[in-house]
Amino acid sequence: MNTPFDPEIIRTRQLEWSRRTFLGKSAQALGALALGSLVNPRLLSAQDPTVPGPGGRWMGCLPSPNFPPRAKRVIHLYMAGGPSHLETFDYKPELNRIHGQPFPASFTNGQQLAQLQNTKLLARGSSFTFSPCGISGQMISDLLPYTQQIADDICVIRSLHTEQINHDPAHAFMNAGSMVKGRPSMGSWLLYGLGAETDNLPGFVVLMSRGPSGGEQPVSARQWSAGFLPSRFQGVQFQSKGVPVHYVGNPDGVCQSTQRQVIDEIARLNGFHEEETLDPEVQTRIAQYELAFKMQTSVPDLADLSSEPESIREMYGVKEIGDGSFASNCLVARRLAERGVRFIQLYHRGWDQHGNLDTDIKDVCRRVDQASAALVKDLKQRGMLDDTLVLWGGEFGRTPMGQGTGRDHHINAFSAWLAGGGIRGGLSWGSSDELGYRYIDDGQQMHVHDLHATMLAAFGINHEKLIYRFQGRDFRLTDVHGRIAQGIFA
Amino acid sequence: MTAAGSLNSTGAFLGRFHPLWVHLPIGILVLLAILEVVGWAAHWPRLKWLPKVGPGQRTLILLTGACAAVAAALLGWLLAHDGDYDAARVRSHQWLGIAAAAAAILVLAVHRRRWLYAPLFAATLVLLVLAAHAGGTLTHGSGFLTARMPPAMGRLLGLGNAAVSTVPVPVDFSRAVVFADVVQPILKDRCVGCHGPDKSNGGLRMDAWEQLAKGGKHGPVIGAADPASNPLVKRIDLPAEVKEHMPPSGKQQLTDDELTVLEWWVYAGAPRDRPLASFDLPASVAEAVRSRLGGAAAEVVPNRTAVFANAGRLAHELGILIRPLSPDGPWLDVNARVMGKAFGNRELALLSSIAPAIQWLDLGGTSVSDAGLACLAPMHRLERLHLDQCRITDFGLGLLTGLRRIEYLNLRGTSVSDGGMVALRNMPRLRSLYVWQTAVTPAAVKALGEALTDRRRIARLEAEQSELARLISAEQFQGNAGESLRPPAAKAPQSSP
Repeated sequence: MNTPFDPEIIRTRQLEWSRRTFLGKSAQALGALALGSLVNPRLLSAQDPTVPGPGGRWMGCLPSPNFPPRAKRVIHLYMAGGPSHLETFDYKPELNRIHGQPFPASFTNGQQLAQLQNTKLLARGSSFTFSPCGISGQMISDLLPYTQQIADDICVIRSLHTEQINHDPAHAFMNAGSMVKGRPSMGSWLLYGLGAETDNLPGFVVLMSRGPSGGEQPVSARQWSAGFLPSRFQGVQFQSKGVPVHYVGNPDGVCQSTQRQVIDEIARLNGFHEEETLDPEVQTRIAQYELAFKMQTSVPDLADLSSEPESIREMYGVKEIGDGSFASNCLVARRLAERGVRFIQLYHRGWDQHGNLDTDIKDVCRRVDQASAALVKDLKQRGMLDDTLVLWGGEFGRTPMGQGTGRDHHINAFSAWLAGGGIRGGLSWGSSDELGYRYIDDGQQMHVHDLHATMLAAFGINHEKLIYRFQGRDFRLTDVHGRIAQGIFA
Repeated sequence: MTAAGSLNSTGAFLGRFHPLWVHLPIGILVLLAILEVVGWAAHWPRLKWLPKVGPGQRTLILLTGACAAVAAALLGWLLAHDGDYDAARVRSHQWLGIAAAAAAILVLAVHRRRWLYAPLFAATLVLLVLAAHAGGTLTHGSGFLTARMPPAMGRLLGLGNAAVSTVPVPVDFSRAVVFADVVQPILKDRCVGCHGPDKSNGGLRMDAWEQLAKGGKHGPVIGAADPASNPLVKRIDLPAEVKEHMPPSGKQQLTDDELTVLEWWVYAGAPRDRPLASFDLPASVAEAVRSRLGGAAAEVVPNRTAVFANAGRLAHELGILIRPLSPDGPWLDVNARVMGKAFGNRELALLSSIAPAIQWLDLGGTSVSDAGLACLAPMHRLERLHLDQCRITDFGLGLLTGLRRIEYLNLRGTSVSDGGMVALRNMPRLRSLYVWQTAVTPAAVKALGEALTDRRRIARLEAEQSELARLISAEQFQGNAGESLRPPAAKAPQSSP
């Protein structure tokens, strides 16, 4: 099977067309050809004898890396809702000291606020204690006792900042580097740039878990959309409870060989249509039929957590197999990583504590702490942490000013951690001011664009070179920004 | 300071201008020679438009040239009393220089008699060239001019190959002798230029073992009871900014390999005639020695186009994933894990056409076994190797000993045991090893770690670190206008931009 991106196919087809056909279809064909060439920049400039993949395998648009690569896959532990950096990774004794006093106006004058607009701003210290951990002595909250154990494997970033103060646009900004709809998410960009290392599973998989209340902010499917990239690069959400993919088994009376014949015939018919239109979306359709056929065997194998020994399940804190918990999802994430999936995103909702911060954050920490740390340890003992980049963090942080019994959304400083994929463990990167209000401009400040640029650099990709032309403009994940934090790499 | 002392130091200061000043008389006299030749050519009718030197001009140029030559000789005399130069060579340069200056004065005296002027001036120029060459040899060492001469030209001039060729001849490791084959070549490249027969700064010569034992102004260089205080290694280890650092900043510094070898040699008690093979060399030292002894045996970089063509074909045939690992090199990441058990020893053998280009190889979960590992022998470039969950044993690990660039090795879930860990001692760059779910004991891993860790090198780097910390603190300004003990005041909040 071949792809429309294959230069050979395009060239032979161009030759096959008669002049009449060509004139008749010129508008359509030129458009499609142009689109095809945009999908694959190599197509019209076949100067680089790059290594092609067999069959329909997408090997990525980049002929060779821009830098020596370190990482091969990402596991993004997405703490949706905006985890409070002041309760987890950013220790601020000065804030504790002025607890209850008016928050200094010099910090907040003229600044964007979400729900705290036109209210009296009072400083709110953290109710929780912090400890220096590991040999590196990184300060981590005692709310995260398991994460404290992996302090020397993770690099805590305390100077993150974003531009969007509400959940949905902030999620979009964290995922796609823009709040505008229709932009590809970072998983899609990575898949477009490098392809996946599996033929049997989607290259970009999303799993979701949540707290007990069920009242959390929803996360829309546009967060893992491929945007203007061909839709074969979009994230595929698996069910975290029960069967990961519904209706993946054959109905009674249909065997695999019959199924194979059906898929082949549909592919043949779709092929006619594709030859007429040269539309990459038809090719996406063919590829998806093929992938779905392979997933009929790969997904049951993936979901069979009973093959995991008791000790491993205990390590992650999985109570019941496939119970939809974050712990269960972390275990599945490791199994996806082992099978060559490029980008795995695990959303956990329940970090949006406008009120009841002290009780609710304790609960959500308990739900994610053990499994997050177990994932890093498990990857490490398998020798996978060297080439797996783990990112733990949310879309923004929370205000150092109190909001009743909680905190409001905050974009000027928040924390996250990175592990593996060539990142130096035990490192503290960047910092916020003494009240945790704003990142410090010390060369280690990390805008979301900078985080994206750094993550792509771990894969050997120069973020300025991963480009897709759409509606007459070149687009990048980092737009016209992004600075690689070189010092973060070992 | 006494008057004599001040005179001495002024003399030493002025003497250092000699290498600069000498170019002035040379330039003036050579310019006159050019003018004379041109003027002589003007006698030929067709070239009579050429300029001629007037008698007054000639006198003026000769006068300045002779004065400059005398001044140069005086400055040279001052420098000879101060610099650490080989006495015999200084003497020959000195007399040639004085002779040239005297000849210049003589020419000035007789230049109005044409028949005497021409031969005397020519003789002066010859003396000048000889003196200049002797001076150059004093500064740069003998053989400076011919060291980079093409061999063909050397043969033409009858210098013979030995005098010209400086390419080291590869020496067999098993027959190499410590000082002559390993240490001396390093000293010759990096030290002997300033500490040798021609020029011996600090009174130290480093061209022979006996000279090192004899030492210089500050005492012997080798043979001290405590190797940690050895001036040789200590001086090299100092940060480059420090004046005592050797080689001086601006000169070619020692490579890591050279430093490793030199340091090991000093700590081993500076042996001279013992064969290398009789030592139990640490892995890093053995590696450094090998790479030095190998001489010109540089790494062969496979052709990128050819490798990629083969890689594309193999990826199609075997269903494996192959990706380039660098923007311009031929290096490859080969992932056979995607094919699982369908990839075995037979398929692995087919990779031979791209073997020298493979840098990362993932055979995890494939059906590759011990017998197949022989195919890895030509993969000299291999840095990351996954063999997890393959059917391999200690015997297979023994076949990997030639892979000296391995940094990452994953043996999880294989049948290897403690015995196999010994074979891994031949991988000097190994930094990450994964042996979970095998019979390997923590004690064996620890022992391997000890063998692969160069404690001395770490200690050296730590010493360097503390020296740098000292330098940093020396650079920092601390002002203190007096403090009194007060209860801590509320800190003024940082202004927000």
